[in-house]
Amino acid sequence: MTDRAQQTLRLAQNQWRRASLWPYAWLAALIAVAVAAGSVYWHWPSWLGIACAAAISAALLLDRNWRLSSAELCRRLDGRYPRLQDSSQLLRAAPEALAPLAQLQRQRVATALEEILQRGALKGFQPAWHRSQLAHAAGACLGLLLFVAVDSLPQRQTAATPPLARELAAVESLAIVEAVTEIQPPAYTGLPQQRQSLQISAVEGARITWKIELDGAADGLTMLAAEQEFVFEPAETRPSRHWQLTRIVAAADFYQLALHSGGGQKLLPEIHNIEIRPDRAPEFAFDYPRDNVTVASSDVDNSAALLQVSVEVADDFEVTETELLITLASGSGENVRFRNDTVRLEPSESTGSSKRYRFSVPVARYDIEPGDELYWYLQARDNRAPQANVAKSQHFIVRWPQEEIFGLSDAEGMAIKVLPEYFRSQRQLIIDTEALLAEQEQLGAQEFRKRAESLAYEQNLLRMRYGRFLGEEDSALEHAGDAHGEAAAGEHGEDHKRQHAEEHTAEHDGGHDAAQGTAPVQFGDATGVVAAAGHQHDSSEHATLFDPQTKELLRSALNAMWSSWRELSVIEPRASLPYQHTALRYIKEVQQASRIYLQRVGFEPPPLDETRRLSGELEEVAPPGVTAAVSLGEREEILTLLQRVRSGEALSEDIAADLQQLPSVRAQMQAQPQLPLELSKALRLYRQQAACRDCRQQLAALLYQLLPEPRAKPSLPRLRSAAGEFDTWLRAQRDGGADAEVRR
Amino acid sequence: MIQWITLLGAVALSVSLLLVMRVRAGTPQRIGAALTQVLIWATAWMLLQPPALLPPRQGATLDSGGAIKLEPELALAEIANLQTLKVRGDGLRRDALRDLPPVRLENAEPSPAAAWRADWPRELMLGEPLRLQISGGKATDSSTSFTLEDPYGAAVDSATIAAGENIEAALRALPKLGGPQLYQLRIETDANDRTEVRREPVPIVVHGTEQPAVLLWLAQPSFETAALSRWLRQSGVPAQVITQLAPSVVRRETFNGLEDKTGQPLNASGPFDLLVLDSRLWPQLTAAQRRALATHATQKSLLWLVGDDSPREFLDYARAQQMPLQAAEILTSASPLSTDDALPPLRLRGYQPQHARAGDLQLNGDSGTLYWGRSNGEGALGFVLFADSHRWPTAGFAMEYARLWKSVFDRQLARRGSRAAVSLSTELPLAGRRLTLCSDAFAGGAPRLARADTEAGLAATALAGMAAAKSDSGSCYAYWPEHAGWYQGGDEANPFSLYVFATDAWPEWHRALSRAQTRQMATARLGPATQAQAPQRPLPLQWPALALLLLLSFTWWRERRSLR
Repeated sequence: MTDRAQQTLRLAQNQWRRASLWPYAWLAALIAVAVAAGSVYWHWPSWLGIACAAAISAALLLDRNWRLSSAELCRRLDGRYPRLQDSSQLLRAAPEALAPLAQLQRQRVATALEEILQRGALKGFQPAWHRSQLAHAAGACLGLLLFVAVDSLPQRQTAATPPLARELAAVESLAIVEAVTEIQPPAYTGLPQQRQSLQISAVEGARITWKIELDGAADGLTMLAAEQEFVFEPAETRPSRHWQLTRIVAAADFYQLALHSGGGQKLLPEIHNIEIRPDRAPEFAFDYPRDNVTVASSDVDNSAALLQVSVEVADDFEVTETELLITLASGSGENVRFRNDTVRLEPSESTGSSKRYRFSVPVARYDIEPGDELYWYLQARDNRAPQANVAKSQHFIVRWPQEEIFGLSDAEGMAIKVLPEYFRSQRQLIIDTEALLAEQEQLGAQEFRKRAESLAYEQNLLRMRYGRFLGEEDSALEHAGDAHGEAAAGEHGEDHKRQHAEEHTAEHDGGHDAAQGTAPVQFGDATGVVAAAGHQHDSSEHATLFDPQTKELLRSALNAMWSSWRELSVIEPRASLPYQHTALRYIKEVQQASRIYLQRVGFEPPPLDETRRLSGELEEVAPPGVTAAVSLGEREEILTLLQRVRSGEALSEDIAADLQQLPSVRAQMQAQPQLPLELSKALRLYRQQAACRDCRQQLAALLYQLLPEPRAKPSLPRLRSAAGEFDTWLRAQRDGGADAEVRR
Repeated sequence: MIQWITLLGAVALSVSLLLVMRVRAGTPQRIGAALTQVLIWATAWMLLQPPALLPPRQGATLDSGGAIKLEPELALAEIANLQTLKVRGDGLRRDALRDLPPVRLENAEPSPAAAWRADWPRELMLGEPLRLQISGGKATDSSTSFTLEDPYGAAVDSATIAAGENIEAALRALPKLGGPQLYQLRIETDANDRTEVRREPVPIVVHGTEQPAVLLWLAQPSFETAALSRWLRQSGVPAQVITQLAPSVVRRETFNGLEDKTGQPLNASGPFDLLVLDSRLWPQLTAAQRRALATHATQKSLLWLVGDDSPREFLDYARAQQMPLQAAEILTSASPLSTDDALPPLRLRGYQPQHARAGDLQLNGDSGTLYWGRSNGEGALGFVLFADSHRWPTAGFAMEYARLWKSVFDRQLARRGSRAAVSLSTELPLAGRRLTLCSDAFAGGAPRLARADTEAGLAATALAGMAAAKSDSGSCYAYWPEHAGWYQGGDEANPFSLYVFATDAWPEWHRALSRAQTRQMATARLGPATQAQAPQRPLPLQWPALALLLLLSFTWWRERRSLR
């Protein structure tokens, strides 16, 4: 009986606890449903569920109804059921511990409670539903739901706000839910379609389709690329949540997205890159020939091995066509004829994106003669569309040497004024020398000497004429003095020559200062000549347009002419003949090798009237003063811009274009092709986000990179006595001054 | 004070003895009580003046690894009485060692950690290159890569030291901006398949150029002087170029805002800091002009472009200035400033210094002297003995051309500076450590020194400078900067900037400095051992106190009956 009474009491306690907790369960279920629905349909934040659960848990902890003590439970039972005669506390005690009267009363109360239980009257035994803790929890959850609902549905809440502010608020709330780019490489590449995010890496010419889904309907979506704007097309009627844009991108770019809704615009701050991998042109790798110049013999069989070609042409996708282009130069002098030919090549091997060609240069189809030259190179195309990449290989020369080169005049094909009264050709000199030697027996010694000297003079003249091709300007000066002296000797004799020299010296003394006259210019002293002239040109080695091989040939010819002149000058015509032949051979080789043709007759300046030189009136000469100042250089321009960026000043839109006009910036951009895009991107970020310190720093770093290095300029030292004290001490020691102040 | 206490003690002892004498007791008891009183007052006196009874301490150990610790802990006066102070670890910097009493230092074996030094000019003129030299004799066990980064973080120059090689690297950069700039040295160390990267600051101050006014006076035009004239004009230097073909045929060109005056250009009151004259001009100069040249050479700067055909009178003039020139073979010489083979060679003029003195300013090529100068008081006299430098700009070496002539001009104008130098007591000033600044400009008092970097929101409060001992560099003041970063100091006439490094910056360099300076101080203090015996140490106070307590307890025990 005792156990039964306590079980009944426990049943009553369970009934009370269940009834206390039910409202909380209902509240939790309702809130969970609301939060789930809000998260799905209105993208409510995930913290909302946690916050509501925390509020309900706190209310549960504070609410003591569902965890009443047994004494309190008994008091509640006594209060609710008068039949228990305020004695339900007796049920908590053990019957043995009670007095007999109390035991009797305990039994009566147990019976009454059991009857109440059996009648089902205990179902109404529950706390009041409007408990403060429950009400607070419900209020907190409702408040949170309302707060989030108001935040997620601004258009309904801001009905009273002005239209422009409402539109701006609407566009500000828009965001991208999903963004996908579909990249379709050009068909010729054979690459599969790809899906990427907003950061794109694609091959040149790829067709890129952006598919953007927004979390709300927008009236427009724009792509702000580096230099252009592109407008997205809506997938359904405007306003739309789904937008699409297709571009064919040929060069690297970057972009930002801008949302339009109502009259407002929202610029998304992220900048996305479009990296483009260019389609490279085919490349050549020659196994043989290894040299650019091949000297072939007339014997076709012997030359066959020299004319074999093996080359691998590789491309990043496919090599479609390779051609052999041949130019045959035949003839000599002014009668050089050129013939062009194109031969399509068939690959001997084809592996993936590369093809190997083995062939022989088809010389058999031409009538090759000694002295002819054949120039050839390869030209390959890849499968790029719509316009293929065309690459040309290096040029090769096949040369058939000329067996006999003496049949031509050496004066042909060279930029020499043909003035027979002034100089003879090398071949003419050889003929004249041989004639002189043949007539030596018939001539007197004086006559022989005179003719040999004449030949020497001609030889020297010819040497200096050719020397001009090497830029030997001192030769011209030397020639002028020499010719003048020689001519004077020849025409007027030694007296006139001496007199003229004295006059010349007198003119110099009168016209120039004494210091200048202290170093008389002597023939052969090139330093003196240049010093007297007051200027000196750059190295003669680089003053002509000949290639180094031709220059070397010409230099050898000049050396031979020099030797020939020396022998002729000492009246040894026979000894000079080998040098003359050597000179002639070199001249012909120069003509054959370079095939230069220049017009024979050039500009003829009027002769100078030397009698008028240095005869001006000095009193009237008053050179005007010149005032000049250094102009603002590129460095200063970029430096000014950098200072403006560092101080956060606003920059104009066309600053990038202005910068790219500067030569030093252009040179850097050619070396670093990604630099213009980086600069444009940094400039855009700087303009859009004035408070962004990183953006400012990034732009400043780019400008610092573009800033030309400062040149060393003359400057006064900053610090006093920068030379140090050691030399002061030394001077004090040297001067021997015992009282000299020495600061050490 | 001590006298009063002594007098008080003596009076108290006398009173005690008098009271003991008046006690009615036997003579032995009274003598015993008197002795006890004497002992009590003697012990009390020992509390005031502890007797030096303990033997002197011979040595102590200063542990410099991590936190500096002295074992055993001693007061400064006790340290001063040590025979030797053994320094364990890498040692201390010179400032810290100077703060110790002058005891003999014994330098223990340093730690095996790597130590190397960095050296770079802290102040540059715009256009001068920054050269960072890293050197350390100790071989590294792992490969180390040094990369110099510009103030915006871009790599400028780099060097890699393979494992097992000595640390020797030279990095170069050309600062593009003026003002204080913070370059960084990125140090990558590869060891055990791990790469450690850290950065150390390389602060420099780049000064804008203060340009001299230059007169270029020529006897005839040439490519050489045309190139020099163009460089002066393009550098923005106020300059005048006078070409005097004959005494009455003069062409004047004035550049960059210099007032075009047709008066005597050699007047001492003229605007020119530097006169560049053609040696062939000598015969055209009047006697007055020649006298003015002597004044100019001692007060400003005079530079002669020596020609191959210089007149004999000019050579006599050089000899009269005790800088005789002798005829020499005309040779070519490579550039002294660049090792680029493509640089066209310079041509030496036909004259070389006959006998240069020690202390003369010289710029030497590989086959002769290119420039010879000598400072005279505030001025300088110099001779340019090369030609064909005009080929450098035409060959694409305009920067090298500018550096060559700037190096000549710098030597000529070395005495024309106007600001006093400010020297630091250490090449690696650290935050929280003492920093001593010395300069002739500080004669009026401690210069203001305040933090320049206020971006962190810290107010630029000036640091208090304390006067320090005067040195060769002038008056000195000590500061204790708390934070790392740029500091600005001085006044408007003599402003300066300096960088204070973080405490943990450049650990290897700090280690190398500590080792070297500790070794140096140990060597400097290695004098003969002192003949005088060090004084004995005083008895610790607790022993007299204990004795006093015992004596008082004894007297209480003896007199406890009378106290009832």
